[in-house]
Amino acid sequence: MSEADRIFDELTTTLSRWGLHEIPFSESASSLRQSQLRDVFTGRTQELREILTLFQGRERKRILVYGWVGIGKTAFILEVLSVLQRKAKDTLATYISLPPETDLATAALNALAREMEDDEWAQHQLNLMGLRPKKRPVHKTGKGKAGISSIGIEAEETTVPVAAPQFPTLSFEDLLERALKKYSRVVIAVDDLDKQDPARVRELLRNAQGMLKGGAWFMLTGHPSGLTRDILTRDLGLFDLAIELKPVDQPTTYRMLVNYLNSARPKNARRDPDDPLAVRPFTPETARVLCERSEGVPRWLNRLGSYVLLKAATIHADLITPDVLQQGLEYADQQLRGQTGLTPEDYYVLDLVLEKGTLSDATITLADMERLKVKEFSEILPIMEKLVQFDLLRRLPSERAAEYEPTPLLVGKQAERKQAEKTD
Amino acid sequence: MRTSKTSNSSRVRNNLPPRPDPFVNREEEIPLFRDWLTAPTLSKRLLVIHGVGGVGKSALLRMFHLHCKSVRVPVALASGDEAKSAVEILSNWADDLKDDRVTLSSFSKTFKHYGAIQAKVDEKVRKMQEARGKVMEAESRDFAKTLIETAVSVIPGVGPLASMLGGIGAEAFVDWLSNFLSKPDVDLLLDPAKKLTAGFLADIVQVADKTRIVLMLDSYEQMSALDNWTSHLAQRLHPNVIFVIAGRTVPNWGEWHGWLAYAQVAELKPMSEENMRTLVRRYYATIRGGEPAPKQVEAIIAFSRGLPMVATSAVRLWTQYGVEDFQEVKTELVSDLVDRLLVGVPQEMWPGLEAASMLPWFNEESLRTFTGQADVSSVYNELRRFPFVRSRAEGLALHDAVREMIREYVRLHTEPQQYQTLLEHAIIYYRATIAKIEEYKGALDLSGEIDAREKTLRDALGDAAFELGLLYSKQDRWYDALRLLEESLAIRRQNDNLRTRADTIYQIARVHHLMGNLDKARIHYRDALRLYQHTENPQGVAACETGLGRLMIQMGFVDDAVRELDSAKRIYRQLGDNRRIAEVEEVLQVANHIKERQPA
Repeated sequence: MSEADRIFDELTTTLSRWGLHEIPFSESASSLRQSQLRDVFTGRTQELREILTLFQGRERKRILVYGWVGIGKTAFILEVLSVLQRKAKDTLATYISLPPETDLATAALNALAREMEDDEWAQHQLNLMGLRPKKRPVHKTGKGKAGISSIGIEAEETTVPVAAPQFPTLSFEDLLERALKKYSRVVIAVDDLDKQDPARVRELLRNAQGMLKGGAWFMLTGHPSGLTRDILTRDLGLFDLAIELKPVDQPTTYRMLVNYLNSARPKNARRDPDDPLAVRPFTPETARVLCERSEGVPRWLNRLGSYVLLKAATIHADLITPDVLQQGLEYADQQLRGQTGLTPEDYYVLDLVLEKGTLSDATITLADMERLKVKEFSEILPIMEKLVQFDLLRRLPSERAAEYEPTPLLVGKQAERKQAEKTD
Repeated sequence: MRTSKTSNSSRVRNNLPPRPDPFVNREEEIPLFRDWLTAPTLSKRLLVIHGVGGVGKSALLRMFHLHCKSVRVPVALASGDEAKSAVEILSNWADDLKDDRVTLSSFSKTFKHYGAIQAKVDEKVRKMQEARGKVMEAESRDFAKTLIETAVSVIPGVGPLASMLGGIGAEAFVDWLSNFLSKPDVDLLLDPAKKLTAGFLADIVQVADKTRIVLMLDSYEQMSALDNWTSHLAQRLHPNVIFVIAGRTVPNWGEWHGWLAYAQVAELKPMSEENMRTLVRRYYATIRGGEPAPKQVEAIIAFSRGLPMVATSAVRLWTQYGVEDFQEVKTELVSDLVDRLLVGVPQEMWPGLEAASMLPWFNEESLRTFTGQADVSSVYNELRRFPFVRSRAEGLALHDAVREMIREYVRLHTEPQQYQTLLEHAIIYYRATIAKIEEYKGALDLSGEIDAREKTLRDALGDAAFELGLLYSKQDRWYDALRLLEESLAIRRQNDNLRTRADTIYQIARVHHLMGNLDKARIHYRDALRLYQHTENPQGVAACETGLGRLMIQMGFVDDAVRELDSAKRIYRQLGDNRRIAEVEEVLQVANHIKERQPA
């Protein structure tokens, strides 16, 4: 038996001692299969009620789902699409992650054409864009989620930039007309608008006003900064409903943890959240600490859960005790800081934020910026946003300033906070 | 990469006033320089003279030049107006020193060989052009294309190669050269500065062991791309060499931290009225003879704002066009200043002057393209005689200070649509020239020559993009405005002028504000505010605070808004700007109304 075989067997044994067949956490809902998403999706009852009520009506609507990075926007709209596919038979539900440098009409055309496999004209449109249904070409530039496998969810894949059709809005309208001959309702979900510059998103939305007010239902996801109420609902009147997803509460987070763990257990071994063994290999205590640390942000729960389990598996821990949890959190800290793709400039900015606690366009000084060899907050803003995507920083929900602080995923931050609480 | 063929003595003559007599003032700098010339040893050997455009730096250097000649100290002068590369500077210096019977044998030998290599390349290019025939002439020529070709035509050395080599890249270019040049020759062609500088320094050591030498660089602000080279040179010059640098700013020699220990830094301030009076009288006497009317002298002093260059230009133009009737002028108005400066200039000259004000340098072809006139020879020749027009390797250029004034004048007095068109054409021209330089600089620019021109063009593009962005924003062409302002900002971030950078950021904030991008607007207002505070620009600070005040009201943070607006109002009061105070008060009223309605 090779060393690699031995290690693999060891890890498998550890996981099976925990009653799991795999580490179930996932950073992105789009990487889950539909059945997995159904297993783990938790909470958002009120928001689901609001949005699904709209789908009882005949009049088509435009819906914006917005919230901070990692809050669960993708999971939310995929859950809605999944329900529609299963329950509303006459509905064609499509999903696309907005590719970089692509306008909304092209993205919508792409999403719709993919779902109309039997329609020659749709396939022709895809060919014109250099795409093929279901199977995208190989791709080294840009990262996004695309396509709907069987009903709406497909693994994350890298994508090439889409060659924009000459008249995307007209092409989309033609295709929509064809789709509406077969279905009574077409839903286009365009995800990840928040990965783009808010000013550009605004430009995209303005340019797509005609299409958005056309015959399809639209669900879009966005970022609170730039996509605020005044821009979307009042000024342009583009959206009939804007749903803000906020961090979930602690009991929901705990349930989500149980769901994730159950999703990796045999069906007959799944446990009720009230059962203390439901969170194994966590103890109820360490599970609660993990949930608190995640602050109700699903992606953080997934990140931390994954790193803690990986660490526990490496040290062959039977149970995640407070000590093992601490090691797991430190491991998460190391992994997060060591992510590939971070440049020295990113680290300089991160260090400054860690040093200052919070950093915003209102509080930063020229002296702070001199250290980063810049003179404007705007120059470091893309770096801050990148660090948010890497879960190293979070943007605080304030419109007064673009204010950033380290995420609770960083151990140092947590320690500082505890120290501050003690001092208080 | 071609060096200027203008002989040194003619260069000096071109830039000199007609006779040296009118020189006035500078009682500190001239004795200091004279002392240095005769000192047995030099405790300091770098003389840095800085001051605003038109204040008399070039004239002072030419006085130094004349004095050196009179006491038989070998002296050499090169100017950023015409020498854009290390090679050009060294070659101009070597020419000058030859006049003083100083021969730089090692340098001359390498330079001659370098010239021979250039000639060989020229010949190859010429043959390729011939082979390509007249296909180009048959192609359609729209305006943008004409501009692009015109743009390239004024870059010495690049023009023929750029049009000839089409789309080939730097590597292919080197391969092409290797077909008919040896490896050392290719290296010398691509990076002549290294070998020529080494030869120059070695030759200078031989001479400076025996006698004092003076090397001078004028218009240094146009050579900022050569900062590293000049710093390297200054450190290695023989201790018996006096190195004089004149420019709008002090050299940025960050790599050489201790240079100030070897330097005397002198700032030339605008002249006192008394000295200006003397200057105007002497200058008038020199070119016209006799005594000018006292009223005329006072009018000139009033609008020259202490800048001798403006005063002498005014005297020259007025006498040239026979206008001697001056009225009192309002000096604070630039348009009035230019109006007076150019009074009597014939109407047919204006399109040429307008075009010249848009360009860092120009030749007949670019004037023709910009004015749309078929024959511009007479205008070009007339412009050549203007006292504020300098000749340089690319053709002619207005003196920076005057160019800025005429540009401002054109902005205020030209039909908005016509001015917009001028800006749009200028931007196409700048972009095209920069793109061509970028395309070929891998192969052509190792000497730094192209960099200096590119920087000048980039700065001009930054200014034009800012102005056009502003115009577009007033026409509600927000996305176009934003793209231009962002382009301007990217350029302005590369230089040290924080005021112009703050202006661009403030305008970006305004456009975002108008577009409803409140988050971006707020961030940019604050960025601009910090820079205005740092550069102590109260108008800028108050403008940003007013913008932030309006923004905060829109976002619902009324207390924050009132705080910003109160601060802006205080500043406008200090500045006595009643119009702005009224504007701010109006917004404050809105804020207070909202506050009253808010629940306690």
